[in-house]
Amino acid sequence: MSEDRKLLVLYGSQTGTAQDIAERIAREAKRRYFSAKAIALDSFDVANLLKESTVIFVCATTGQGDPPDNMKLFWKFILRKNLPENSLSHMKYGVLGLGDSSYQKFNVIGKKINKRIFQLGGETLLPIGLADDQHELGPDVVVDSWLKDLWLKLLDLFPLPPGKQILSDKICPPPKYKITFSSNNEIPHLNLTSASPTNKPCLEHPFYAELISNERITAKDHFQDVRHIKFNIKGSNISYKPGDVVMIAPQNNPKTIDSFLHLLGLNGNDVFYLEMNDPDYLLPTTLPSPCTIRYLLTNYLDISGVPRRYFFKLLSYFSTDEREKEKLEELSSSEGQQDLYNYCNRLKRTTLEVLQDFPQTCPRIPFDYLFDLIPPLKPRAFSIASSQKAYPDEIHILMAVVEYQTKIVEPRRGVCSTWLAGINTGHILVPLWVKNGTISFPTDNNIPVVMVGPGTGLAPFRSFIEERVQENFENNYLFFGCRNKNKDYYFEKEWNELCQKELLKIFTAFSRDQENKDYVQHRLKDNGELIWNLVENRKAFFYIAGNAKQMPDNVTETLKEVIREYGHMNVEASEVYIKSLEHSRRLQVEAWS
Amino acid sequence: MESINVTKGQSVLVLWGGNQPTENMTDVVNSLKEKVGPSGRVQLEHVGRLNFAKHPDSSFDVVLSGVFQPGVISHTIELLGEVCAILKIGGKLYLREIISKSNPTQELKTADNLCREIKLSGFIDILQPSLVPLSDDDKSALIKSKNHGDIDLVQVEASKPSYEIGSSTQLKLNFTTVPQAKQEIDPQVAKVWTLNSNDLEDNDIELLDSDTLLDPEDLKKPDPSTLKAGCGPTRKKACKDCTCGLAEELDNGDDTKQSNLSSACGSCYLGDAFRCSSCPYLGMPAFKPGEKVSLSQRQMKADA
Repeated sequence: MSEDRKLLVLYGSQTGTAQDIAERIAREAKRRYFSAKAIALDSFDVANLLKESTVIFVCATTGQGDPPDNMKLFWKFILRKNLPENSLSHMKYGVLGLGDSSYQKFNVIGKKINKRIFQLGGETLLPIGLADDQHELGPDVVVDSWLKDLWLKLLDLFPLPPGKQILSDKICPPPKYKITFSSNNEIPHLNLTSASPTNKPCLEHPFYAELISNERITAKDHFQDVRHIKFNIKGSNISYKPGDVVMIAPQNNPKTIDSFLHLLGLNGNDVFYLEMNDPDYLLPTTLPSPCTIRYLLTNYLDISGVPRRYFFKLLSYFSTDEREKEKLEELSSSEGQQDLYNYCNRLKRTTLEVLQDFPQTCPRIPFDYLFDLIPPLKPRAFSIASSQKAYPDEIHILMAVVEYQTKIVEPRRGVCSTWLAGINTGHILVPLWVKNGTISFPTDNNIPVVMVGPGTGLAPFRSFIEERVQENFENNYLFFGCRNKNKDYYFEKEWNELCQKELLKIFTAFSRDQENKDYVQHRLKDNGELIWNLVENRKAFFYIAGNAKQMPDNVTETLKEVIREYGHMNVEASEVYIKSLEHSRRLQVEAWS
Repeated sequence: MESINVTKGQSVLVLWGGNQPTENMTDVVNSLKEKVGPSGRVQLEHVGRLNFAKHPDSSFDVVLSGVFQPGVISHTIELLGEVCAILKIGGKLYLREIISKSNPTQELKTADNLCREIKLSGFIDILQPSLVPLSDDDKSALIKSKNHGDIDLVQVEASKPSYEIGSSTQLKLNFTTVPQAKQEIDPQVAKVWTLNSNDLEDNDIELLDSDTLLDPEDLKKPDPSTLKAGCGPTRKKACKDCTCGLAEELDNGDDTKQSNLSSACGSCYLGDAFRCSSCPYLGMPAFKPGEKVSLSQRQMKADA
C-alpha cells in the first residue's frame, strides 16, 4: 500500500454516532485499499496533524452548540490565535457535521471546524455534509450521500491500485487483532501495572487505590443512593487541585460476565495472546498479554454498553440461522435505523441483552471478532470533592448510583457507579488517575467566588472551599439545591461549621420541602443585589456545576436577569456582559449527564 | 449600468455569451472606455473562450458578466472560480443571471443558490441580488426559452478578498500534477504547533471567538419540509410470522383497529428483537423452553 493512500478520520462524538460513522468511513476506506484509521480528536496528538495529507473530520454538535467531550481539548487548541495561517496548507480535508435541527445552533461545530481548517490553509475536498437527526430517516440520509461524493473525490485523487476492485461489503473484513490460545492453561499472573512512583498515574498505568470509606449520604428512604467515597492515594504521586477530575476504570458485573461466557460458550479461564493483524490497529495498551477471557470481560470489553449499528452488521456475517440473520441485516440497514433506535438506544438495551435475543448466532461468533464487535469500557470521570491541602493522601468523590427503569423489565444500572457502590473497603483496588478539569479557580484568595452547585454539582466546590478555608480565607458564596433538607443535603454539618466561622455563606433551595418547587436560581434572584455587587465591584468569579439538564441554562438566565436589573442594562448589554465574563473566565460552567 | 462602479485607469473585462454580439454591446463598451480613460483598458471576451484566453491571474479590476442579453450566461462554480482568479485582489464582479423565484430547476438557480456559489468560488462582500427590470417582450421570450414561468433577472455584486486566500503560491502547489509530493513542513509552523500541543490545558492563550467563524448563512436551519422520508408516518410493526392480525391490519392500511388481538403468533417466546410492537411480553428476556411465564403488574398496565 503506497504511502499516499492514507486517510485519517478524526471524530468528536458525544453519543457514539459520530464515532460509529468515523469507523465506518475507515472501514469503507480499507475496502478501497486505503490505509485508514478513526481516532477521537482528543486521543490524537494534534501536533501530528501537520503530517497528515488527507483528513476527514466527523463532528457532532451537542447542547447549545458545544463540542463533544472527546474533542474539547482539540477545540481549545485549534482556536488558538497564535496558529500560523499556512499551518495546514499540505492538507486536504472534508467535514461531516452531525447535528439536530430542533436545537437553536444546528451543526455549528462542524461548520466552525470546516471554516477554521480552511483558515489554517487546508484544501477542501468537498462541501461540508450536514447530517440532521430530525430527518425522518435519521442522519444517514445525508451521511450516505456525502460519503458517496467523498469516495468519488478520493478515488479520483487516489485511483485504486491497478487490477483491484472495491471490496464488497458482503465480505466480512478481517478482524482487528489476531488471537492465539495458550496450550497450557496455566492462569497467568495478571500484574497490576501501577505507575512507577516517579511517574504520574495515567490510563496505561493507573494507581490502584484502596477505599477508605464508602458512605451513603442520602437518607435510607430517599429515592436516590448517593455515595461519598474516599480513596487512599498514599504513595501514588498524584497531585491535584480544585476543579480537577479523577478518572476511574470500572469493571463489569460478574453476573453479566457469567451470562456472556455461557451464551458464547467460552471458558473464562482460557488464556490467549493478542497480536497485531493490521498496522492501523495498535494493540490495546490497557490489556495484558497473555490474558484470560475473564479478565478481558471484566476489565476491557463494554458488554453492558448499548451496541451500535455496526455490531449488527458484523454479527450478521456470522449468523447462519435464517430468522436471526435476516433480523440482524434489517437492523443494520439504512431502513432499519428507526427500528434499531427503538429496540436498543431508546431503552438502553445492553450488548449482552441483544446477544440473548440471538442465541443461534452467539456460539458462531469467532473469538477474534469480539474486539471488533464490542468497544472498550470507557473510564468514568468524577469531579474531585476534596482538597489535597485538607486531605493530602485522599481523593473524595460524590457519586449518584445510577439505576432507572425503561420498558425492559430488568432495571438499567450504571456500570461504574454500581460497581463502586458494591465495593467494601479493603478488598478490591480501584484503578484511577487524575486529569485537569474544565474549570479552574482563581489563585488570588481575596477574590470572591460564587458557586452554584445543586446535587452532586457540589463536588468541585467542596474541593475549592476546603482549600480556601485551610488558610482561613473567606469570600466563599455557595448556592446549593436538593430535594429535601433532611434527605439529600450533602455535608450539611461541614457547611454549618464554616458558616459559623464566617468563612462561608451558603444559600439553600430545597425543591420538595414546600408546595412550590424552589431551586437555586430562585435563591440567586433573591440575592440579586449581593451577586451584582460581588461580580461588578469585587470582580467575583462565578461557577455553575451539576448534572441537571436545564439547570445551567436556567442559572445563566437568572444571572442575566440580575445583571439587567441591578446593572440597569438592556437584554443586549447583559448578553455582552455575560460574554465578557466568560471570556475572562470569570463565568465557568461544568455540566455532566 | 449606473450601479456599476468603474473608475479611471481600471482594467475591465466584459464577458458575453450567446451566438452573436448585439448592438447595445458597443454602447456599453464605449461608455466603459470613456469611464476608464486612456490609461485604462476594456476587454471583451466570449464566456466560452475565457479558458483559452489564459488571462494572467490578478489582471482585472472589474469583471462584468452577462450584462448584455439577459439569460445567456449561467454562472457555474468553475466559471466563477476562473473569474475570481483573474481579478486583482479587492477586484469587483458584477454579474446578471436569470433565476427561478420558486424552486431551482435543471437550468435555473434560485437567488440564494447563486449567492452561495459565488461565495463558494471565493468571493466576499456579496451584495443582496438586485432586481433588473425586464421588458415584457424579453420576459415572455425568456419564460419560453427557459420553460419556467417564475423567473427574474438579478444583478449581484461581489468582491475578491483584499488578501489572497491561502496565498497564490499555495494554490499552485495544490494543483501540481506530481501526486502528493511530500511537502516539507515549515519548521516555524511545526514549532508553534508542538509548543502549543504541549500545554493543551493552558487556559491563558488567547482564543478566537468561534462565533466569528459563522456567517449569517450558517445560522440558517434546514427547511422542515426537506426532512421528510417521502412516505407516511412510522407505524406499528408486525412480527415476521404475525398471526395476531396486526400484519393484516397494516396491509389494509388500518392500524387503528386493535380488536381480536391474540398472542398465538409464535414470536412471543423470542426476544424483543422479534416481537410485535404490541406484544405483551416486550421488555422480558426470550423464554426458555418449558418456562412458565407471568406478566408483572407493570406490564399489565397499558401505555398511558
